[in-house]
Amino acid sequence: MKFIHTADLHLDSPFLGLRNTPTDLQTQIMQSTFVAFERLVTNAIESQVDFIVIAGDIYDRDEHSIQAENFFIQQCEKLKVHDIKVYLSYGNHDYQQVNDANSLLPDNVYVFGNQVETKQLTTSDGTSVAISGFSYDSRWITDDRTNEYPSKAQVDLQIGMLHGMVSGSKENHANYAPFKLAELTAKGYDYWALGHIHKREVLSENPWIIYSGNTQGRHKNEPGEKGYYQVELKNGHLVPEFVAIAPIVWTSLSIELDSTNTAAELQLLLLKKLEAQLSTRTQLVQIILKGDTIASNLDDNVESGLLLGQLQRSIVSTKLTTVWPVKIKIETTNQLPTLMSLDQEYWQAAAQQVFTKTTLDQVAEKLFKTQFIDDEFNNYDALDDLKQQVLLEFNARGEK
Amino acid sequence: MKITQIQIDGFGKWQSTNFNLSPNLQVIYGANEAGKSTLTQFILSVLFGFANHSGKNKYLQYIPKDTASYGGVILFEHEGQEYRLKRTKGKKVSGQVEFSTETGESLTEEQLAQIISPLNEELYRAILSFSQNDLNSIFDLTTDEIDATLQQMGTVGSAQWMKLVKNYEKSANAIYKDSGRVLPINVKLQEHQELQDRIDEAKLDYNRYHDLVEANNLDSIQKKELTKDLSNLQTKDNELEQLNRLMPIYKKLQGMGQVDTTDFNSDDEIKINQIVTKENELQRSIKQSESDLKVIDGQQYTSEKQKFYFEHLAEFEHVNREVPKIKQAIVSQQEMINELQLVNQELAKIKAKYQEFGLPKSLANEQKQVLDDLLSRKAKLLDQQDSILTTRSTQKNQAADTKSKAILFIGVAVVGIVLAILFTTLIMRILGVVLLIGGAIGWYLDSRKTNLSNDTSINDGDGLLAQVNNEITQFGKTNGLQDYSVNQWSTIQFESSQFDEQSRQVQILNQKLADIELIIDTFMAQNTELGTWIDGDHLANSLDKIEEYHDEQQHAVSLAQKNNEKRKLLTAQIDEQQQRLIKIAEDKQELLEQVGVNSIEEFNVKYRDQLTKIDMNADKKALAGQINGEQLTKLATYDDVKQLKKQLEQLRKKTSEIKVQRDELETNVNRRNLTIESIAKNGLLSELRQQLADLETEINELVVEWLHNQFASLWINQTLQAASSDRLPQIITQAKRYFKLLTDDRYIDIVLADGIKVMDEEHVEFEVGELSQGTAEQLYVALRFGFITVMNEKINFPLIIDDGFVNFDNSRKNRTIELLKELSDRSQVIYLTADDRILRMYNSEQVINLDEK
Repeated sequence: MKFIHTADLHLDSPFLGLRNTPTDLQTQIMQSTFVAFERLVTNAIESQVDFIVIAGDIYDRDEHSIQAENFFIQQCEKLKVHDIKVYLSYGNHDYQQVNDANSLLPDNVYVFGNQVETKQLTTSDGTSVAISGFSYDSRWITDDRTNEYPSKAQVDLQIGMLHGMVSGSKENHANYAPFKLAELTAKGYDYWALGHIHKREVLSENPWIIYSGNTQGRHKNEPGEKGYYQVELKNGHLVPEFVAIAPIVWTSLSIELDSTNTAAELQLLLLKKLEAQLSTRTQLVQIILKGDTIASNLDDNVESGLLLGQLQRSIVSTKLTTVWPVKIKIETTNQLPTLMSLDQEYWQAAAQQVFTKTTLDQVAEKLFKTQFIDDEFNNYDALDDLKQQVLLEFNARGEK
Repeated sequence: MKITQIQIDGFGKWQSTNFNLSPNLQVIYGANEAGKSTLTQFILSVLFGFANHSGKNKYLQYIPKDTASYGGVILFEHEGQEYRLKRTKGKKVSGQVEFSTETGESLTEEQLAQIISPLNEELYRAILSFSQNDLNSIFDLTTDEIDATLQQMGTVGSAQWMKLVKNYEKSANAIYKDSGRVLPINVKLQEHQELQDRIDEAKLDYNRYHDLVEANNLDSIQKKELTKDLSNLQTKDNELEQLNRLMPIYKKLQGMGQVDTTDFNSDDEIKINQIVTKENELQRSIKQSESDLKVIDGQQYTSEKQKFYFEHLAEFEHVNREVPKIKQAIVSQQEMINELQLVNQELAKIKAKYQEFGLPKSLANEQKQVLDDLLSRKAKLLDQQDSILTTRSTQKNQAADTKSKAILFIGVAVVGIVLAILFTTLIMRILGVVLLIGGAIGWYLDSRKTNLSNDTSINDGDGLLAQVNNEITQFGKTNGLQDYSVNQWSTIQFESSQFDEQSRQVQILNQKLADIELIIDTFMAQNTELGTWIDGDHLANSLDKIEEYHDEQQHAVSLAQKNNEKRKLLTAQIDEQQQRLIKIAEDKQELLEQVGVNSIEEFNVKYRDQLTKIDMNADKKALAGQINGEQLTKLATYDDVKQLKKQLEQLRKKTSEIKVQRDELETNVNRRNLTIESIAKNGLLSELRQQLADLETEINELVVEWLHNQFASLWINQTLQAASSDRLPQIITQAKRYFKLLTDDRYIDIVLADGIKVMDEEHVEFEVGELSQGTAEQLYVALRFGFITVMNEKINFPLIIDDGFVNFDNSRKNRTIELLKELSDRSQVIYLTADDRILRMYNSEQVINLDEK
């Protein structure tokens, strides 16, 4: 008995935080979510899994991507030929009213309805499996739906599918079917296939409660290898194994600096480091410059994007585009500039007052009417980042 | 901290120069270019580190041009402890530090940093330095700005901060304004909107795609149904088609009744057939025999000749036996005739030879003996004469000749014997006898002659010889040989005896010939009756013809004999077969009775009938086997084939209609699939979306920058305000005194309420804007020193004032110096000035004159 647990395919969704990407890399990027899933399907066929569970967010409903839908249908048809079943529930991105009539998917695909339901199957080796789950019917599900899941049925294995977020975590995730680990454990299932969180994580080993993460990272905050879990029944125990498939990986490169580094030196150094980081996978690299103090002209170069631009041009000319720098960020030890140190209490007090959502809203009220800007900046992380950035700036200025 | 001594090894223009400083107020005078700023920088550099070479800082490095040593020593007191700090050129730009206590106890740089902290050069300059520049900048400000500046004086480095705020605001405004049009973010947002519109437009394909896919799904469902219908129809079609095929069979089956077929069994038929066959065979055989017989009977005589032969068969047999004998006779007859002729010819020849004297009589044997003796005596005599002389060879030759003659005669005799023995023919036998006798005679005669000559060869000489010759002549006369020479006598004697012999033979031959002729004549006479069919012109020919005829008829005879035997056989056979035929007829009759018919014909008719029935039954069974029960039931529901065919036609019509429908659906689905594929392949939307994401990245980066500027500015303002509002009361407390001092008690108070106000001695309040420029300056200086005082309470560092009050008039300057004095009670004040009036105010001990160094 073998199955694949995956989620958050986000087919055909764009990569965020990119600029001036070379054409070939751009093509690769646009293909990446497809390539990842295609690899999954190929592997599924090769290792003859019994079924695949997809815990939501196959594609972004609002994106209206024909490619994504068409591709997904085709892949399911491919699986059908090899008699591999697909159990899927829709998530917050591909939420929809599920009814059998409007399904464009082939009949090896079982879509969970908008209420929790349980589907049963018997695998080729005779293992009886029950799978419970539900699909989002709207963008947000604020209720804890775990009480709707039945306790383990009279089957060899029961799998729960849930696209959601542990409750009590960040406030805005309460919109996504919040649940408590204990609730899941109490159901007596053998495996919980979770979706929604793009960072893979094993929340529990007994029973297995696992976020498979997404299959392809799409911005710098989704770094590292991405893939799916292949779960196999061995000696009566489920053994999940992570399989990396993402053709493009977001990575980071940290460089320690001292105040004497010049921009030209740094560029050479970065080129060398990037080259050393070459691997079989295409990498989108976030470069982090670290140091107590950074020369202010370097800071200017970084802040203005000049250094990144130059680095990218060098990369293009050396045709090393499989390690593509996407951002250069300066991180200094969090230290107040000396100029401010005497008045530290005043600066800190002022920061408390200035770096608030209220101020942010006031300052950027009109910009925040644009959704993507609002998404990017209208949050505490962004505010923290902003503060760090300004501090860094002051620090650099202070050196002048 | 108080600096007690400065030792410059090398710094700018200063080399190996020492200064001792007052712990309170230290005035340093120097004209322009005397090295005041260099000195200030030396103090700061040794305390905080040499300036690096970047940017404008390099002018603060003061690396000496004409000496190798760089840096120097500062001795200072801090919290009751004396320290020595030496900074010289080192690996680091900031220089090599030697730090120790007064007693030479070495200390670390960290310990130095602890003492200095949190100051650095910048901070020091921001807080504790006071220069003409600071003052001058006041004059460039509007009164509002001065007000603001004064208000924010509570913060360290407020002037720089203010400048920064301005920069930030400027930068922010260069990136984005809510109402902007050409600013980067505004422009990009516009682009974003346009891109979004294009995406929305591209998204319309999605609806089209969905419509197509849905339509295809619906069609596919319908197609599936139609295919199912078609499959059903096909099944029905197959069924009907089968029924249609079966219908004739069914009809035929219906037309067939069940037939009883138990009359005869196959054995009967076989038996009857066997018997009929036998009968037929027999009859045929009889017929054959009869016809054979007829043929034989038809084979009579082929000719009259044959007939005659058959009529005279016995005679012919006899004649035939005689014929060889007659033939032999005829041959003998001829031979004898020929021989007779030959002998006669010989006789004639001999007669002719002796025509002249006639043929002497042949000698009797005694006579011959006599002659021979005579002759031989003569010869002997002759021989004796010539004996040794000549005739020896001649004698031999003669002997040889005699011998060969004898052999010849013996040969002839032998031939005669052979002939006589071997040949049965009379003539040959006769000839043999003749030859035998001839030979014998020849041999005898010859041998006598030889003897004779031998005998006569008595060698008596000539006398003897003549006697002999007489005797011989005598003998000749006696025997009629006188007319012939003695030499011829022998030949004559031979021919004469021959003549006799041959004459006798003629007699014999004639006798024999007569015998043979008798035989032949007798045969001829006997058979004259048979001669009628022999048209031989000669007896021999006739005989041949007889043989020929006989031979000819021999075949006919044997044939006739064979035919006779055959006839006999055939007749017997026919008889026997007739018997069997009768038996068979009986058997047949019995069999027919058994089977129950009267005749074979009847049986055949009935049996054929039965066979037909059997076939029919078999057919029926076979037909019935093609139709199953269900089909039978169904077939029964149709009146006729027509009805069924009509139904089949209707079904097919419907089938083809559905097929058309299905094909149409399929065409539609395929057509849509093509469109779907082309839409799905169109990566435009993905591209646009990625473009949008990239644009958003770009915008966000700008927004970051903008927010960053905004917040930096906000933060600074906030801090400045907070610090001012907190510190200002303290500063003002200090500043009040300083202001009073500086204004020579004209103004007694600074009031902080809704901006800064000052109060004169008459308690009248003035706003900053209402003050004269000079008073405003004094207010600034008072506040500035108030700030320094407040701040320095924490850090207590020497206060370095580099030519701060150049523009002040004398009295104001004096008051300022008074103020410095007061300040120096709390912390060391190092006042550098180019104003030589100071030299008059202080004695040389109190003033370091750089011009004198």
